[in-house]
Amino acid sequence: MHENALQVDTLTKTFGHRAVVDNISFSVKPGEIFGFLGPNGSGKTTTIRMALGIIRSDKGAVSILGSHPAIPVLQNVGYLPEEAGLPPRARVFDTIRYLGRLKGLARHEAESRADELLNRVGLYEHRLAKVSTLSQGMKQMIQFIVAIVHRPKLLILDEPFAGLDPLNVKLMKEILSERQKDGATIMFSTHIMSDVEEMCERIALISDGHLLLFGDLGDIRRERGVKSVQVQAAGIPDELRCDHPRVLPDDTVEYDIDSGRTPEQILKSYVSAGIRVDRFERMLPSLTDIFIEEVSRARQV
Amino acid sequence: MRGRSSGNASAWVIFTEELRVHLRSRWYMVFTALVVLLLLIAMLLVPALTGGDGTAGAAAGQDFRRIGFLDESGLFGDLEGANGPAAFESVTTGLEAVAAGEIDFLYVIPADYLQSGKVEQYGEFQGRFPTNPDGEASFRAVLVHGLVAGRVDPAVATRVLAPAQFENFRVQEDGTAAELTPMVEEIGGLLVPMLFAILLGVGLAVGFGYMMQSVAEEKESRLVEVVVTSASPFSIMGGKLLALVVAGLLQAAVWIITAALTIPVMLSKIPGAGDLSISAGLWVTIIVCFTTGYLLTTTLAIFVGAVAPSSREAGRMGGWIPVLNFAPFWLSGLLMIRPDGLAGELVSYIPLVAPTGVLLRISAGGNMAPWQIAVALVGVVVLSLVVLWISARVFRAAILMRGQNFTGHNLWVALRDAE
Repeated sequence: MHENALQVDTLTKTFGHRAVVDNISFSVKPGEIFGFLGPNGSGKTTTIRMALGIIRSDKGAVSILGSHPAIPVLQNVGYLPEEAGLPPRARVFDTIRYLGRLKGLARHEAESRADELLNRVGLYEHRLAKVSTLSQGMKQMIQFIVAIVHRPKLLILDEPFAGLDPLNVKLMKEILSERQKDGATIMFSTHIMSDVEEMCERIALISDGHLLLFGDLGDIRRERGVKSVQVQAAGIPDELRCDHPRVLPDDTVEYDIDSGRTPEQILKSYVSAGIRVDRFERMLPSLTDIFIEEVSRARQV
Repeated sequence: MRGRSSGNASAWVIFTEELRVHLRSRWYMVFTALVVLLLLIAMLLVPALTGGDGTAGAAAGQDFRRIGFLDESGLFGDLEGANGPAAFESVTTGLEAVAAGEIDFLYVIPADYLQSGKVEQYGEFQGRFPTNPDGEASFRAVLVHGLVAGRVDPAVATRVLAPAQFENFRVQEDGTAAELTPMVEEIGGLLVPMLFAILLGVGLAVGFGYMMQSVAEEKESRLVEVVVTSASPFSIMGGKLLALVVAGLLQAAVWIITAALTIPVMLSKIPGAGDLSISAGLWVTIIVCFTTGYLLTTTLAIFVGAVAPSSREAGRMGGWIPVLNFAPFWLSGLLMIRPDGLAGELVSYIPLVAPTGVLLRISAGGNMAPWQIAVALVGVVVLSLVVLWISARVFRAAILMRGQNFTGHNLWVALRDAE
């Protein structure tokens, strides 16, 4: 087993005079689902392309499954590009078979897996349709099949959920979880934070080509401390009303910690006022909060 | 179970996929079948248009005074009459009469005429295909008359049915005569290479457009991003190149077989044409021209498709390239007059036009030795390899530049930085 499924060291790429990716380093551990985050135009796709050897980096090194990203190693990698990379005039089944064979599958194996996966995602009846006749969501699912048809050890997905309806998002996540259980490593880029919070244990966040965060998602959230507390209780103590707490739809009351009170002081106010507390929870910042905070700070700098 | 995973395996997969797509494409099937159909139609129509089954009927009651004859056989002493042919005492006086315009043709009936059936025909033959079907028919009628009149000999009866197998001679300005190439060989020598030059030109134009659009669309659709993570640029290009060359050769093979079967039949139906035998050398030349033509055209198509910012731009950038294959046809007038002149040399040895140029020059009657053909087509192969080398080096850089112009600077950087 390699120490890291993907290792990126001081990767740099400049287009003209603009550094699109600047000295980025991170790693993806074998068997994990890794979130690669960043706003639009932050350099995610360029980083992925350099990692896969599609474009050359100006500086830095990449290791995939313990080796330089050459074709033999990349046969064990599945890639879903940001935009659908499918031949518009070809038939769905032919396309999956062709790209599966290019990844080293025997013809009959590529065909049986194409049928199996088309069945799984509910597109079997479209197997003889031309790609150009499919909806954007269908194309994305076909592209996903192409990425996983050869059961790669490492899956790199660039905005995999873009253009999908909630049912297909759920289905794709299920299949990804299955692939992870089978031992595959998965890295996907996105700017949809809820997907990352749901699926990933570790993340990297980049903005304007710079790495802002990298590590365990839980640690990152805990490092930022408690953002607010949520209280479900029979009322609100008078002394806390001046803090203008938010009342949520289920009557939970939320207090921002930056108002000057600590969580302990808030709880003590409830106890002192003799109000029964059903639930008291320290709220860590959401990934969306962290994303906005980090990217905004980086852009101000 | 995994299949072959080397670079060769990738190239093979790309080759089989591209070949499958080519062979199933509408243009390929329609174009291939259309040519076969046209050859079959021509085989059926030509005899009807040229007067039937190869024997011209003798016309009775004709004026034969423009015909001269010399009877060395002694069989036709009483042929002269009011409207009969003019008798000559010697070939020399007969030829002088032809040269002076007193008669159109002189026919010499040799002493062994009854045995050989041969009659020498002298006249001012004009054009590339000198024929005299009317004169031959007339003199045939004269002979039939002379033979049958008062004779019942079986040999005579046989000759009545097939009175003459003409051997043609062209009378030079100095009064000497030179033997002519049989007409059917002239027709075959013109028709076959010209037909295949046209087919090659059209095939290359269609194949070029198809391959260029294919590469440009792969680039535009981002398919190439997925493909380059599975195969090296050399494998991608090699697979595509081989597929189009093989598709072109398969197409040529179908046409060659059809032509070999239909054209001799077609020509045999032309009166007086005789039997056509097309040399193996010509077929080999045609196959080599197709191979080299597709090789160069495909490499150019891949290059243009890769460097063009979009499939639409690809058409604008490279649309002129397949037109070059028709450049020799623009010079066909000069080629027909002097096939081995400057025009002939140019179309044979400029690699961009040589595959069709060589065929057209041969069609025009040019004398190209095998080594000259080899030199001309080796030039095509060398240029193909140069384009292939450049394409392989810039392919990766070029195909990822969607929507951007691939400038000379980009080309230089890509060549310099290629692995």
